[in-house]
Amino acid sequence: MLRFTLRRILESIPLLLLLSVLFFVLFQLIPGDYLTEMELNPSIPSERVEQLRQEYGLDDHLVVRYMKWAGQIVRGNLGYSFAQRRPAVDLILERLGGTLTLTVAALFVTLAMAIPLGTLSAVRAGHWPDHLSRAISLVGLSIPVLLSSVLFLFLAYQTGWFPIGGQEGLQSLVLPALTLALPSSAFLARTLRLELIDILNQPFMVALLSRGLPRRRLLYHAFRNAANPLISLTGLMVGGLLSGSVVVEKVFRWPGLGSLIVDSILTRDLFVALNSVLLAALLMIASNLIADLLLALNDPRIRYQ
Amino acid sequence: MSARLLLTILSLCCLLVSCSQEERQESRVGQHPVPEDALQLEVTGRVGGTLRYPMAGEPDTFNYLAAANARSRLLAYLTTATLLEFDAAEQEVVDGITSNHEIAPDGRTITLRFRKDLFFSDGTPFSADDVVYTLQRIYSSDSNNVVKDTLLFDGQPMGIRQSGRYEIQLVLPRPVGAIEYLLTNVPIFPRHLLEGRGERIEDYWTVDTPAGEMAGLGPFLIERHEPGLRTTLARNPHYWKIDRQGNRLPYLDRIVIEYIEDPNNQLLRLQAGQLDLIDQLLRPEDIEILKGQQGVEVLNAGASSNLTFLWFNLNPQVAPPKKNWFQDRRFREAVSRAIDREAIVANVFRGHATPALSLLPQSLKRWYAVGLPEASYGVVQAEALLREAGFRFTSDSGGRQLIGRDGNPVRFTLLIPSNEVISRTAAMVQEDLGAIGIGASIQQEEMRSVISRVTGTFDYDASIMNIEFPVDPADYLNLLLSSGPMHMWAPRQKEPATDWEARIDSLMQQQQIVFDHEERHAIFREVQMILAEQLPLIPLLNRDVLVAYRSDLNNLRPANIFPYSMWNVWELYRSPEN
Repeated sequence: MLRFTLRRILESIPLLLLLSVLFFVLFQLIPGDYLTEMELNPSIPSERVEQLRQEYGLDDHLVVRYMKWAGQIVRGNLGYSFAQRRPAVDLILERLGGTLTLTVAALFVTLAMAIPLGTLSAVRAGHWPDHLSRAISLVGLSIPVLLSSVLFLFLAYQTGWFPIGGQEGLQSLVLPALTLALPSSAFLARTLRLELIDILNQPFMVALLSRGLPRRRLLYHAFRNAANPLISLTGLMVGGLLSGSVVVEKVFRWPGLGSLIVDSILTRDLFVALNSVLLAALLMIASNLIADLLLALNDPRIRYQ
Repeated sequence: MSARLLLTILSLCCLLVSCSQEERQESRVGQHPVPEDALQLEVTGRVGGTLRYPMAGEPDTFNYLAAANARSRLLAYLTTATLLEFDAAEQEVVDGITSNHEIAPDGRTITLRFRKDLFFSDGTPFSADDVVYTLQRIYSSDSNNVVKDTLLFDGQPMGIRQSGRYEIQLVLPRPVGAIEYLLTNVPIFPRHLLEGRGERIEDYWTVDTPAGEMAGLGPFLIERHEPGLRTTLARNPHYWKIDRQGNRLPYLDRIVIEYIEDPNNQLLRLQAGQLDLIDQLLRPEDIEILKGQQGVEVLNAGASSNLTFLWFNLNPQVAPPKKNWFQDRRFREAVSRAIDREAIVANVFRGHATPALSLLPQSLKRWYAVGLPEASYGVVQAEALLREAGFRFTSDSGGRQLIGRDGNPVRFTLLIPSNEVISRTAAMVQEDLGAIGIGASIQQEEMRSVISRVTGTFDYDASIMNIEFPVDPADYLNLLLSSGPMHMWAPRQKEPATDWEARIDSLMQQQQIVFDHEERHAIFREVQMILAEQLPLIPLLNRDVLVAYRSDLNNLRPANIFPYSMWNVWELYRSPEN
């Protein structure tokens, strides 16, 4: 298991390197830089803008800029925020906690909604609980995150049960987590339903049932067999939750990495944008690694492949 | 017995704690008697209360000299005093921290006399030493801030002479017409907190600087910053303005600036009583929702200096036939006349904007020029102008088509930044131009990308943008000088391309050294006249300043320019709850 874990970690390093080059090149392809908007300020002379551009190294060659950035990261320095004139790492760390909290909460809500819905739907396939559960999933899948965010915000205003956004304790986590979890839980519930129906109709399950195994035990075995795609999907879902959090963070005023990434890209705050995107990629890789480890634990065959 | 003893000791402890808190409160007031030299304002109000105000994002800095956007500028405005004050309502320079100031007849020496016995927000006495120190640090060779640029005249700094504990003289290398206005942008930093620190003056006081390490002469001080959420400002107990009754201002105990980007979130919070005032961020459609809402008032303070305008690419790189069309003054005037501004205001802004026919709105009363030619809406005149310029009209199954002298159909691309309001405005302009046979296709790009094309690569035909225009001609040099980087229609010219641009260059240089306001006004009027005739920028509309606030907020007198409702923040107060 240790060898398997180490191998997967080592495999992630070239992927991260490749991603860093990709992010850097893509970022440079966007027209303009941090100082472009300053040129619109009638009071700032162009000489000052050019001086700042030199100071920030924005007029260096692309390769030089990449090497500087990569060199900084290797030395443990994530660079400097042009906008806030302070280390980029400080800004990122301020937001990382918010994003992790929201993602974990959304993941928890996703599983808490998807597993009962999917199971009920599979066990009572073709009956009204199945139809109801599929209808709920369909609604969850069809509502765009922006719309559900605004609807939940309005609900908070109308009922007064939840704060209208913000980060004021656990209560303010409920609606953003629910908004993020809606589409992913709908997708997961439908996948789980199909997997369970497929497994429950396998000959070995029919054999177990005919030998008098109680339905609860039967469901346990069906679950173990359906767990693999569920674990893989949950690992991949973290990426979806991270990207969905951009909208949710903005609407619910939840300071996290998503809004920091968007803002820093829009203002071309180079090091904050690049390092935040890289960190988001790292989180995605880490969640997939955890999913792989869980898969290996659940199904030992995977370790030997 | 022991329980009773314990209870007695506990009660005594509680009493002691509450007494010491009261004493602390008493001493806080007692230690700061109002200075004799305080600035008395003709206002009345009630001390106490909190104002909750939204901003679309958090500030980048708490340092006045590093504040590059409106969010940071507002925080700096609330916490810092400047050498002279700009009264945003009257749009004139007034004394603030100075008891008076005078300019010598030669226009080269300005004497500033500061109010006596004032204190920074941390309780340290203020004197002219702090001003001299700040100016020296601004001028320091390693500093790289924008205020430094405005204080260099022909590359020369001002001479600084301290002539007493509360008086300094600034000696200019030449007379500077806008010197008083320029001094309204020079902050005062506390020498005792900055002396001996190595960084450049613009690098101090970032958003993670502990509140105890900052102090200022502004009405409020930073109490707490919660990244991404809010900044809490507490009233400066040493502020130097008093009301009619001699009470120290500001009235409000606290301002909580909430960082809320989503306009729906702001609106719901205002309706729920969780925000007290929204100005810059209010959408025209929100006004209708808020009208009649109990406890909320809405008002339209008139046209702001935020101008939406259209312009054509007049750079020499533009290839014919577009070059010939765009450079023809009559074509530009015809385009201006073809646009129905009233309809844009009604449809896009629900009436909450002001059609614009000049660079400055009437609300910028100090510099607005009356009697300028106006290329207002008139399709008949537009068509006559185009015919006069050699264009002709054809009709086919696709509708009307304008044909240039060269035989080419008149079509161009309108480059706009991704912004909902601009995109809707552009759609209406497109429709209006279509009515006189001009085919304008809209190309939407992200803001920085548009700026790069306009000021760098020049690969565009025409564009629509909105910009906050400054209040003094001194700040128009980058825009109006032909060599200016922001001379939108053809930036960074080595020599003025046209006679009228050469004339504007000469007038703008002239206004810099003329001291008399009437004379400067006459010069700037001529600049506005040339712009109105030549139409390198075709004004479309000025957004109105829309304000929504809780009914118990008083003394609100929103200005048409930044910082809008907050310009007289020291006067705002909350009525007692019923």
